[in-house]
Amino acid sequence: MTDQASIGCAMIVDDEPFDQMMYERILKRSGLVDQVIGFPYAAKALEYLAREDRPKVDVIFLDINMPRMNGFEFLEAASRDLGPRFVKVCVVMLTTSIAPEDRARAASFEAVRDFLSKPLSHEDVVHVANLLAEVE
Amino acid sequence: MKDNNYLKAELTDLIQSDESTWNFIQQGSLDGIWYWDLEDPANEWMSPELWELFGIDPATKTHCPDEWQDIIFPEDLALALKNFEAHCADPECPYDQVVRYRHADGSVVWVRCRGLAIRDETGKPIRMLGAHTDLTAVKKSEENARNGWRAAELANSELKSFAYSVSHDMKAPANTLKLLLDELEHLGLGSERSEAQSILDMAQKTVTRMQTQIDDILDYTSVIGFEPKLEPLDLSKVAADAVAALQADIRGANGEVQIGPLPWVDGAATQMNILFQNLINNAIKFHRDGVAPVVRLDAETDPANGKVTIRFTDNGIGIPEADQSRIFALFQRLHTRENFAGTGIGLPLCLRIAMIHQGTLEVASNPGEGSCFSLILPAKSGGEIS
Repeated sequence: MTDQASIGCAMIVDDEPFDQMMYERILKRSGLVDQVIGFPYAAKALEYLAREDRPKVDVIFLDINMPRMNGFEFLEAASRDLGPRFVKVCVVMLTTSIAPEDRARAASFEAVRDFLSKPLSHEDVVHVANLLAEVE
Repeated sequence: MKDNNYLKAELTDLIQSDESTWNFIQQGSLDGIWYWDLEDPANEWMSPELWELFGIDPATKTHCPDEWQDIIFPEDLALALKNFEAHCADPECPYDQVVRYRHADGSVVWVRCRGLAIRDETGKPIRMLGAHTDLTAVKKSEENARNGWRAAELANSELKSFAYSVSHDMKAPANTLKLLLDELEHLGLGSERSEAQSILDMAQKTVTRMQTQIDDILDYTSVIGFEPKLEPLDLSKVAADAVAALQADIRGANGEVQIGPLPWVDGAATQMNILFQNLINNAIKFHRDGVAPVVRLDAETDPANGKVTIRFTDNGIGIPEADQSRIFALFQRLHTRENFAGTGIGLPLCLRIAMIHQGTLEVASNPGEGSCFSLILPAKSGGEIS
C-alpha cells in the first residue's frame, strides 16, 4: 500500500446529485483522495478553476451530458480561457456516452487523459491515481 | 416456324386496303408516328398524335424536322442523332432511346423513340419510320418511388438517432441505481438503519424518475412519424381541459391560469391536449422563488398570412437567450434535477406536435421576468377567436 500513488484534490462535474454523492463516498473511501469538490453545473466549475486563489486541482471527473454547458463546451471554454493552467489538470471523462465520435471529440483535448464508463468503481480510482503518478 | 394462320394474312391485307385499320393500330398503341424523307431531309411527316402529346395544335405545324428539334432536350437530341447515324450505317444498331421533350405548359414529356430505316436495293437508307411511346407516367412514378425511398431513409436515420438518444438517456438512471445498490451492498445488512434508509429513498426516487422518463418517451413515440386526422378543435376547451388535468400542480404552486379568447383550429385533440398541458405545466413549474406563477393564454389572428398565434405567457424564471436554442432539442435540460424535475422531452414533443399541425413553436423570454411561448398555426376559416 505504501507505494500506491494518491490523488490530492478531485473535482467532480456531474449534474446528477445522487451520482455526485456516491462518487464522493467512493473517492473518500478509497483512501487515495484528500479532497473532493463537486459541481452540478459545468459553468460553476469553470468559474472555480479560473480563481487565482484556488487550491490545486489534480483530476477532474467530467460528465458529458449536462444541462446548459455540456462536457465538450466545458473543455472548449477551459482550454480557451485557462490555457496552460488547464492543460496541467488531468481530465478523466466519466460518462455513459459510448459513441466513438464523442470519444474522439473528447480525446482531441490535451487535458483529457482517459475515459471511464459510469459508474465509477474503486478500481477506477486506483487506475486514475496511477495515471496521475505517470503524468507527473 | 412459318405462321400460316389465315387471319394473319387477312389482317395484312386489311391494313393495306383499309386505312382505318392502320389508324386503329397506331392510335391505340403509340403516341405519335413520324416518317422522314432521308433523300430530302427537309420533309418529315409527323402524325397529329405526336404533336398532341406535347400540347401543341398539329394544324400549326408544317412537317419540318426543325419543329421537333426545337422542343427536344439538346442533350437528348445529340443522343438521338448519334443513334440515327449508327443505325443508318448498320441495321443491327437499333434506333431506340428515351428522350425528353418540353410540353407547351413547360412540363417534361418522356418519350421512348424507336425508328427503322427503309433502304433501297443497295442498302442505302432512303426513309426513316419512327414511333413515339409516352413514358411520362412511368417516369413520374419512378420519381415518386425514389422520393418515397428518400423519405423512408430520412425517417429511418431519424429513428436511429432517436433510439441512440433514448438508450443513452435511459442509461443514466440505471447507472445511478447501480451506484446506490453498490453502496447499499457496501454498507451491509448490519449498517445503521437511517443510512440504509436514505440510500433506499434515493433508489426509489431514481426508479420513479425512470418511470416518468419511459412515460414521456412513450408519449413522444406516439407522436413521431404519425399523421393524425385533423378535426375542428375548440382551443378554449383544450385549454380548460389542460388546466383541469393540472389542477393539483397549479394549486400546489399557488398558481393561476388566465384563459383569454381562443380560436377553433384544425387539430388532433389528443396531441393538442399534450401540447397545452406541457406548456402550462412548464409555466407553473419554472416559477420564481416567492413569486406565485401566473400564466396567461391568448390568441391573435394575422389575416395577412392566414395564421393564428396562441401565446402562453408566464412570469417565471425566464430563459437566457443563449439557452433558447437548446430547449427544443431532445433530452436537453437547462437545470439539474435538484432544482427542476424533467426529462428534456416536453418541449421537443410540443414542437413536433406544432409541426404536425403545419405550425411552429417559438419562444421569447426575459430572464427573471418570464417567458412567452407562441404556438403559430394555420388559421381556420370560420375559426374566429371567441
